[in-house]
Amino acid sequence: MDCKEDSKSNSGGPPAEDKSRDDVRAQRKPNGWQKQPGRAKPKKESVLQLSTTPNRLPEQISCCSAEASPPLHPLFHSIAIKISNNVIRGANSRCVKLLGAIKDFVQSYELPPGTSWKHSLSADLKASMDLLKTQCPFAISMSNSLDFVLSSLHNMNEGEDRSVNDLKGDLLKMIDQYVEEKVEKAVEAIVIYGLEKIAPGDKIMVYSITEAVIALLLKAAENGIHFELIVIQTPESMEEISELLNKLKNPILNKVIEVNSVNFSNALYRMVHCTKLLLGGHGLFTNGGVLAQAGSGQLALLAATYNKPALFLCETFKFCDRSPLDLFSLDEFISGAMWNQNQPENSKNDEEPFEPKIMFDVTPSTLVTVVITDIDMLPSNSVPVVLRVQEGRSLVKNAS
Amino acid sequence: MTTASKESQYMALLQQLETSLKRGRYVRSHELATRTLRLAEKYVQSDSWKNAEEVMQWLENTADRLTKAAVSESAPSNVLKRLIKTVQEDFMTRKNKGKLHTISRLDSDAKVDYSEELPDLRSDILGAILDLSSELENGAESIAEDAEKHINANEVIMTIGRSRTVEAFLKRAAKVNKLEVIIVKCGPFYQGKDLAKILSKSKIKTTVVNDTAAFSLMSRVDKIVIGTHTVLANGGLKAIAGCHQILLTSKYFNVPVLVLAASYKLSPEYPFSAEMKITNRFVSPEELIDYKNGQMIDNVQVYAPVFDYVPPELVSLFIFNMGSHAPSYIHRLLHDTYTQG
Repeated sequence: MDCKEDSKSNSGGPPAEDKSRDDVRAQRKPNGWQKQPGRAKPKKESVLQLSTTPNRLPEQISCCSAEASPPLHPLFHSIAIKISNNVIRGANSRCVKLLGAIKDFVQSYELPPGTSWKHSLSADLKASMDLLKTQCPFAISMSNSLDFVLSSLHNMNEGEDRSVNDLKGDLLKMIDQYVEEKVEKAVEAIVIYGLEKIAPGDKIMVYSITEAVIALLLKAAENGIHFELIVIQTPESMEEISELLNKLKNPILNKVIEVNSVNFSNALYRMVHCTKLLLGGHGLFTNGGVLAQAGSGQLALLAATYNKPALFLCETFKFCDRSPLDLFSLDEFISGAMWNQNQPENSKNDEEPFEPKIMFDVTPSTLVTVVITDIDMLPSNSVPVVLRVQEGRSLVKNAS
Repeated sequence: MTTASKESQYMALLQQLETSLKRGRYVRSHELATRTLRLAEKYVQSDSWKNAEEVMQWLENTADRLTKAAVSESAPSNVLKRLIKTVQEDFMTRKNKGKLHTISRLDSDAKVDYSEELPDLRSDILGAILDLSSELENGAESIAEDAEKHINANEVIMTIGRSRTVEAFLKRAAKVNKLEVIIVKCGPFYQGKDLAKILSKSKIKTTVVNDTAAFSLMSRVDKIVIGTHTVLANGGLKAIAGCHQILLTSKYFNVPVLVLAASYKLSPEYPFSAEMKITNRFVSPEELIDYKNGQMIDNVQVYAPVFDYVPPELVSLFIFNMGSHAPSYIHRLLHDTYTQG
């Protein structure tokens, strides 16, 4: 999908690093990317906007910060544009691409004289990321990986005997390890657990297709499990569906599985026949809610009504220490609604209806049968436990 | 006009209606109902019948014929079946005119002989048809009169797809109170956008979203107002695809659901199953799938049904042009509108 462009931008080396910040600012065009969030601002007041706290509105953030802080580093700028235009899709690739950019940033980072490498890098990275958050939707997987980078930076031992290059190498290694263990291996682990749940003769309805979902279905088909696949399509998810169907398009696999497709509105028509609902998660909250493609909640509810289990696949690096009660408190909702409006022309006209594109929703834990993660199959409420174990906090410590 | 030409007139009308039903050449069920009524009017005006029995027989046969032409469309047969009941009633009043208190109940066991020739019956039936046609014409307006009763100030109303009845209802409500409308577009036609344009032209705050967003937005919605294709005999709906899921969501969030329906949408049919295989209509999925992906989808079966069955428990209230009723009351309404058995 987007690999070509991204590899270009990522391997482009340190492009504008040697330019002074003033130069970069001077190059900024008045109507360039910096204006984007402002453009996307819906003209009409609506329930959808009443919910957004005014100080979080992106255009306000950029207004306040535009003069005070440096412009976004070009490495992150290209990511911001790709994410807000949905060129980089999916929580996994967003996270990996961000980490790639952070790696380039670290590699090309020049230490201002008289400061400690660790602290000044950490501060600059944080500032860049705060700015990035105003430019594009920031997925949970992205903020988790950022937290990881910042905390490993914080925990680094900056002794006398260690040079900046040593530290740099350590950090880059840690990031590589994170990508391998938390993202790539996690998908493999989910596939192993998920295969237990796919039985011959199953009729599996899939929605909110993520990397893990594709990997699991592909593996099941390769293992020769005969199953029927019911793909729920929406205009927004055609990319993922194409990817899935392209991978399954193979003379041997075609004999093993049978593929049906219905539009989202017609899900009821096939729900009666299916045996389970398989969904990919983009994030998991401490109250057990699962963030997934918009419409997942509805399908999970439909599945619950017809007594079909709803299985979510979610990697642990998408677990999140928040518990939103509804979607309106989520950054991703706001950004989804604001950034993905493809009607800059129309929104000028007051007589045009407001048309937000809502990309995600939160499925409450009562509608989630099980979450298949890379560490185990869990009820969705056990997120806090996983987070506590991951952070190494013990029960006693917590209690006191 | 000679009798023969009148006869050929209604035969031609019948044939036209049947053909357009078979070929799917119609836009709304309202149009079908009006055309059916015009057909019945022409028949009654003609000399091809002598007594009430013949009229009823013809109405029943025509209802069957039109149902067979397009199983998913119930409006023509609903109109004709309703006329059967009207003919029966007119016959009884005419017959018992002058007699004192001998009006026999229609649903009594005694078999009534409808073959008696009554000279004034024709004008009675034509009068009833005229009433019905004015009811059809003003259906949306008389439903809209209820708008103020149900929609309060500053409420957020969600509607699904496009319905002219809902359009009139919301416009009427907006005259009295400020309200905000969220329109949910559903596949395969995604017609909601047209309604959104119309409503925002008349200065109603309008938001359009895809049906995937209904779950996220439901917590902000005060009421759901929808139109329907058919109201089934058990109080369930045959409505556009996507309704079932969205109304399930509204149940989950305890949002009341108002269903607006003109009387000709009330059908004496019972649903077969949640699938509605028998009475559903399937269209080409060309709107849903890009043919440029033809290579990729050559092994995929794509279904595009048009209707969803919605069970009565998901509906809070029906607003008909003859009043508002709970789903549990539908059987009574059927009893009043159609003949039994």
